[in-house]
Amino acid sequence: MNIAENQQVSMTEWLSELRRRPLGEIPVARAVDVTRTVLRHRDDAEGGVEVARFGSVA
Amino acid sequence: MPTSGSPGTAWPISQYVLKVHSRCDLACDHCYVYEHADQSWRGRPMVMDARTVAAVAERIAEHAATHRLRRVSVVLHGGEPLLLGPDRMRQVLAVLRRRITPVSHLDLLMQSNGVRLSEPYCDLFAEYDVRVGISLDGDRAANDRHRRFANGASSHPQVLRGIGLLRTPAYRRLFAGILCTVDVRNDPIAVYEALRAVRPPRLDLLLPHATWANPPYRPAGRATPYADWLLAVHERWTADGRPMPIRLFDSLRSTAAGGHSGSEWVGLDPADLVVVETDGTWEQVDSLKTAYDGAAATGLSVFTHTVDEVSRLPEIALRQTGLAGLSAQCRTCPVVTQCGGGLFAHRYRESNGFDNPSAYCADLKELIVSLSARHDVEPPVTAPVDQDGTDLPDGLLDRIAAGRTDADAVRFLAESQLAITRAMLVEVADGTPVTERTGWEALVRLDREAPDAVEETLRHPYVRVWAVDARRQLGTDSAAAAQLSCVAAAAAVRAGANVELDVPMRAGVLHLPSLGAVTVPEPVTGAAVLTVEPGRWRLRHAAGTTLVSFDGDLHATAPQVTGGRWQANRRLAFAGTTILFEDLDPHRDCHDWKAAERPDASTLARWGEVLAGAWSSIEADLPHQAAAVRAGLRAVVPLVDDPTGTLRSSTARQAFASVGVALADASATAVMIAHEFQHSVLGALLDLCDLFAPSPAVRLTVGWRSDPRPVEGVLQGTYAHLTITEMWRQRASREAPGGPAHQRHEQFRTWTADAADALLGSGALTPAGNRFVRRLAAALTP
Repeated sequence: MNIAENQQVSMTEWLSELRRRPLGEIPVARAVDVTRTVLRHRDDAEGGVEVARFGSVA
Repeated sequence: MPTSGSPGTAWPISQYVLKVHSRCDLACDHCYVYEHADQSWRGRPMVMDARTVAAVAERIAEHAATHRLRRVSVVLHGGEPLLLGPDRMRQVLAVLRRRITPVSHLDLLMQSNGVRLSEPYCDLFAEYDVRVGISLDGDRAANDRHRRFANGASSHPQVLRGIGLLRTPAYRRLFAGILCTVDVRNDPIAVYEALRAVRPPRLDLLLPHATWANPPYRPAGRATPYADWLLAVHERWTADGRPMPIRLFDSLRSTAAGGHSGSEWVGLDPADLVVVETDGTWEQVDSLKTAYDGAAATGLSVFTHTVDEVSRLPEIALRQTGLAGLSAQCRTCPVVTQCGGGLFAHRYRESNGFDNPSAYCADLKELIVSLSARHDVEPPVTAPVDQDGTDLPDGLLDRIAAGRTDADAVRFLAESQLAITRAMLVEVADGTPVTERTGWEALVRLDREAPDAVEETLRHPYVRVWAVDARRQLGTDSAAAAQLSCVAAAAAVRAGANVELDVPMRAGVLHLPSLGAVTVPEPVTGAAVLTVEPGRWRLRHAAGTTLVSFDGDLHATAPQVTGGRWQANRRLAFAGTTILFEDLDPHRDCHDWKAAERPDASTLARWGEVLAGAWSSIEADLPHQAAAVRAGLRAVVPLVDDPTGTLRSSTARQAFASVGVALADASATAVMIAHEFQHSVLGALLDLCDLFAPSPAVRLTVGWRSDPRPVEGVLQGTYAHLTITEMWRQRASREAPGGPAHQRHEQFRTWTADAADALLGSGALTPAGNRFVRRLAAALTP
């Protein structure tokens, strides 16, 4: 599937296409879309990772 | 649903403003410290003395240790902090770093008017890793309106000189951004253009402090002049392609999508910030000084009261309550989740305190409604995000959710991560000036001619960490993308190819990701030229030339080096093969605990024993996941030891397949690696599939933390604890009933089950998230 021509593909299909294409042939707009999507909630998000209280219970 | 902010509870405080000097060398007539209602500065010592600094550092470190805060920010503030002078400043920084850094990752920042910024100061800030924000209100006419010396002279030339220092390559990384106070009498476009011209990494546009008792200036006949002013800036900024982040606009964009505001100015994020005055008194956020004399006072002191005691104060707790802490009018407003009632101080009215909308209510509402309309016509994020799990390979979501991640699942995630890194490189390269793309051009060529070498290099976890940082700095820091040349050079070395590249050196070190680092005799910072040929490199830099030659495999032989030294990345035995022991890459220090410096030979040998033993433990205690760990884990980053001996481990969100661990025994290290690897797996899954909807106002209580946590944090913690539960179940199966492993298994099982219940009842999970957590909960009872 060619992501440059098909707007309806899924994220995993997009990534599969990005993986196969030579770096120099990846459309910038698609790369930007993927990056923006991946970072959609996380540019300023905090609390993503929890700390296990190993010291007291593990 | 539990929420944070109940009075009487001690809440973690992660941000501290230290008033290290209570006077200022400017006499800005809009300053809330000297010109507004509160006049407490008159009775304060001029300087925070060494005894007070030590007491503050002790209180912060004690609180960070108690609440296991991974990250603490300390902002040096005033008055004008540079009035301290470099010697006193060094003493302050040394005490803060020495006491807090061993306990928590310490972000040191300073907010200054920039007038006294000098090279000695910048060298000091570089040494102590202090990021500096500068206050500037725009072009000279705008800045001169308020920001003058006491004799009326302009401060504009001195401030621009200070900013110029921060823009030089040696100090660029210290530049935190510009803080501009809006005045609607200034031309918004002239202000914007002037601020853009100095290329700040971030811009803050602040509304001038005002309350219902002391309302904002409004030109006659204009209902929302501040919204109009900001919208004019937004229009130009958007037309320019958003060359730098503007926090207010980014916050509103984020909250419009249900995300965090990351700011106390808008949104419903908790405000976990306290101030320490020069005499050591604890105060609330100092913008309250605009409301009335003594408004920020707490009556508590660093010499007599802990941070926990400060955080229990009702007025501090109120700032953690989100929607519940707002006025009745705000709570029913359609834009409340974006506005959040505005800045707390701006809600003050003499008759009823802070139980009001903001004095800027009309402006904020107009701004939010207008921006929402603009966002509606902007191109949306076009990559579809799976909320049902249907785009994933069959059974993948269920296997991962149940803690049965296998090698194939990890490989699928790793391939997705590699594709994402490639996308990020394309974006970074596209934002790089054409004249500075030699690294990118080499990488593109190598990707065609030696794709395996490029792939292996891009799989290095900290390439993506760099790319995310570089992406944020595009348009403001032309050096941000220079690391692309280092990535290309590393790929060329792997491929045995010929390239010549302009490469960045920092403090005499050139780092080649995944391979190692060249150190030259002088602490050179700036551009150098690297010529890579099969079996040899030549690095021409400001202090001379360094030659590295090796026979065949770089890792198999010690290279011959003249004019410098080579430090190779080292690998340690793990999982029947070897794993990268990453103690060189500068981007590895993105974990919430500080990365350790390169250990000596005996410590490295100890690490080797520990990792080998940890793998044996993982094989024994997680038999169904060991293959996934073997297939997926690429790097271990040693972290600085906890001074109290508490175990310490970390996962960095952008560094897939790498875990940070402080040195411990093999059994504990196995638990930490398994725990962190779960975070890495779930993080990669979340890149592909939404398991929850962003809900900043939702906080859930979990057994393993005292403070209510956001949904993603709870999901990550629950998932990691699923594996820890399984490890203790396996360990318990080998010991007599009632032993410590049984107790720990029961503890983790209960915590995990309760947290899964809280997630399922939160209303924040997507269909895929609901399925994920149900599978997770079911897996707790094998």
